[in-house]
Amino acid sequence: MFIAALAIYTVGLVFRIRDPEHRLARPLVVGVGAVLHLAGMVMAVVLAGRVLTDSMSWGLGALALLVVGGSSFLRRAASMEAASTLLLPIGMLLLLAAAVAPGPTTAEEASTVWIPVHVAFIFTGLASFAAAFSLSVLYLFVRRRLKQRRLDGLARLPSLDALDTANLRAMAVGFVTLTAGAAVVVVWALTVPDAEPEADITVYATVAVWVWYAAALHARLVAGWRGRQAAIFGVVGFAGLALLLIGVAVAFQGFHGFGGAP
Amino acid sequence: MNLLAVGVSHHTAPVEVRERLAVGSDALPRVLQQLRQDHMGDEALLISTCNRVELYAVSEANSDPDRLAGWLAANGGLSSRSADPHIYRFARQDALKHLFRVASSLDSMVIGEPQILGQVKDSWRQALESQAVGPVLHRVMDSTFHVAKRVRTETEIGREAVSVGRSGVELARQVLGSLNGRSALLVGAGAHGKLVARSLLDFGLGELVVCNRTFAKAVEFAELFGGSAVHMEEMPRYLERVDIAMASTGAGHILVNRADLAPIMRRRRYRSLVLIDLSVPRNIAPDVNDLDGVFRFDVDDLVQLAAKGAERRKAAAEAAERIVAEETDRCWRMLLGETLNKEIGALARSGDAIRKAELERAHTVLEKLDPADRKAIEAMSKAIVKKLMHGPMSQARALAEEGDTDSLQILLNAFKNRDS
Repeated sequence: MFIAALAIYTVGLVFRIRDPEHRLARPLVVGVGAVLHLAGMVMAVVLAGRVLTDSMSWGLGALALLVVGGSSFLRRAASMEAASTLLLPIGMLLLLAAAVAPGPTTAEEASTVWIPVHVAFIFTGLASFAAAFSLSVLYLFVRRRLKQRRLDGLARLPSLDALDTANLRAMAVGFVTLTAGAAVVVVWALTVPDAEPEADITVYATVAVWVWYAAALHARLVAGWRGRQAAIFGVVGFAGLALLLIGVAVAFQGFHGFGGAP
Repeated sequence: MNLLAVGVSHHTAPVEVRERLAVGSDALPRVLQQLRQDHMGDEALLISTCNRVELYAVSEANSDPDRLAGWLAANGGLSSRSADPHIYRFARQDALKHLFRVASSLDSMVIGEPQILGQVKDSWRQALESQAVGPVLHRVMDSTFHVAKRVRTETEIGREAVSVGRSGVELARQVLGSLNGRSALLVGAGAHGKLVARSLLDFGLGELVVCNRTFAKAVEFAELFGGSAVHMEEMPRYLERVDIAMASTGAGHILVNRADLAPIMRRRRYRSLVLIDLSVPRNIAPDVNDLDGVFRFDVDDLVQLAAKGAERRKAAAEAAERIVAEETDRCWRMLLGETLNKEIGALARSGDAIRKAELERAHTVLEKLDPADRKAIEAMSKAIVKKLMHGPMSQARALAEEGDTDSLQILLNAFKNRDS
């Protein structure tokens, strides 16, 4: 299912790049891909009889679906075709990773509902940071073109101000949901009698990401850093985040025990 | 008679060259006077705008456009070698056609924009005031304004035009998004300033501040658009506050430089500032664009935006080109016809003068004849001159019809009495 969805997303992306004027075609194609994608996720849950929060494949698939959804939201809500097109390949990469990642490590259902809630918040945060990344890349591109006074074709792209505002919103949503995701785990740990909270590499990585985006928002809202600086924060932040995710997944084989990690 | 046109435009020269050759309105009478003193033409017209500097001269038939081009370069302090690649040259019908195309906005950066006709009219008025024009340019300019009017009324070119001011607004929107509630500072109250102000307000601008070297003019201009006027000294304070600043002055020097703008941008916390320099010579230093948050554009940048509507304007421009070609042909024939009539009249008078002089020389012999014979000899002399002139004059008219001015001039020169 993931592979079929990935193939359809690819068609949608190619369609978008080669025929940007065809406004209806891409949402329809990507929509069909998203339906297949979602069907794959649901089918896995139905077959397992539980939410697969311990499956790296399912987790990455869910994250990919959120990113693809974010791409569609960007296109519809803010008329940002180009930013949406930049975001879609990130979702596709995540889906590709999901297709090859290991499945669930145990056959047991998660002991608490806090875990799915925690994962949902964290993934929403990550998808928002991916959106901030694509908006930041586009901001830097448009800015460079304007600075170089290469104005041809710029009218099809959003204004710098619109990109900057959308970037701020994406970062803010990502930061709030990431914070909420972390808070959920803390609250859950406090409710478990005799719990012995243990910080692993994923926790350290999450804290690093949280600190980075907290600094970015602080610089933006308090120190007035905007535009280029905010975009650089968005690009570097997400690049670091991606490296951390890959590092955690490959070097440490998982997130809190996803994919057979200790 | 020959009509020459030499000049530079946004098609051929970057703004660095154009600003060197530009002639401010204050200097224009002196330049036109100098041009005539240097025997570059009997009649002259100089058009100097942001996008072009062009010199039109009426002179002897075989005058050299290269000489005029060299004069234009020297007037701007440029060597012929450095200016030559940028200067175009037109003669006779081509010069006339070029002028028609310029006034009809077919050679404009934004085809169909209406400002150029006003600028050509201003240039003409200044040439008239400087007494630099004569009967040929009078005829030429009458036809120029007629052609421009025909193009505007008979084609759709004006409807598809994106003005310079509107292009500036489009650039501002590319940086700032919506202009609702934004503020703008307009430095200068020139023609472009008015267009920019109108376009900004059409797109929802919240506040317009005008500053000008002459405060009264700033007040008058601000009142026209419901804005506010400030003194030139207050410009830095407003640069700190506004979102867009446009310069459209004839100051001829830099008004906003990097050293002054850097602390302003720090105080703005690098909030985007769009600077649009519509002046030539430039009023905003190009290196301010290196500052974070600053987006500086000049008239050359508008070319790219103007190209957007190129396809839509193409059909209208083709129709306009047909009008220009038709009118060029008509006007050039008219000019040649007038010149020819003048020359034929002069030749006829010259032939008659020779005839009379020869009859006078034979006066003592003719005195002896009776009046009827004298009358017959006089009629015969007239008939001889008339028949002698008939062939060359018919040929001259045919050459004029063909527009072969070089052969025509040779023919007319051959019959000119060098002693007269």
